[in-house]
Amino acid sequence: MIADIFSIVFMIGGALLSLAASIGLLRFPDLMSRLHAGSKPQIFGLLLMMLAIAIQIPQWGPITTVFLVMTFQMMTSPIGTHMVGRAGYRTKRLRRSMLYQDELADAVARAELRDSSHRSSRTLPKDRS
Amino acid sequence: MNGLSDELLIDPAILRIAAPILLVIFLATLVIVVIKLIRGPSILDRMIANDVFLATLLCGLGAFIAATGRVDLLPVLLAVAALGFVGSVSVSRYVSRSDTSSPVVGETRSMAQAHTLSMAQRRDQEEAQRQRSSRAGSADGPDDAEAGRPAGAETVGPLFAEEQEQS
Repeated sequence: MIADIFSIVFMIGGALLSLAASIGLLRFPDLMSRLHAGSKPQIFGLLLMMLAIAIQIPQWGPITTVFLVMTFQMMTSPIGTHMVGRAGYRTKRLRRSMLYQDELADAVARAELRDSSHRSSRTLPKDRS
Repeated sequence: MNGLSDELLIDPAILRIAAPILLVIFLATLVIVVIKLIRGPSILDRMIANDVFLATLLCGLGAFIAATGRVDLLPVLLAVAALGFVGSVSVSRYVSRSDTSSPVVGETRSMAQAHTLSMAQRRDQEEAQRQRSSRAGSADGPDDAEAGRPAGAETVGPLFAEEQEQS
């Protein structure tokens, strides 16, 4: 009975995280903030659901499978989020006014400086090795 | 699905209250995400909505498994969790590559830009050479043709050399 109540609370919590992510997706003004909102149920909502499963089915097979599911999700979800954020930065879909600090701009400026000096010293592609 | 209530893991008295709540929340989430998927201003917003759709699907399937004890659905969860990122990664690669002005596919951007630069330089050299030959004398037409042919061979040559260097 107590376990049932716990797992129901976990399930409703995971569902509410999904709902919050979708509302944030609809309401947030920026690609990066939408990314922030959308990545909540991918890890934490799924973690709550997997806890509910592990409470309800206390056997070794399902629990190890649930562990594997969480491991895969934790490995792959940052990859997708990172790639979407990278593409969003490159296509300049971010509001500069919402940023406190753009640490990537310094790195981009340094790389462009290095690239331009490299190209001015060696112009032909035959010399690039 | 006869006798599903016999196989329920959770107490049916609790589930009778909780299941409609869960159903309403998940349905509202999916409807909002599909709205966002339709009217997202860019393709990256659509990919984020796609990720949230997949996460909601995972959560709903997890809730179904926890409520009914259908352990045979756990491999579906595993497969979706392991492969769900492929779509957003490939679309992001496509989007971040499409802002290059060069039609060259498969090379890096700086390589393509250097290639365009060298082609422009070579075109300038040919232009200067043609102007020089036309200034030297208008009578020698065969000489002009001879000057044109090695220049054309040169434009083809470094391309192959580049490819051989890369491979």
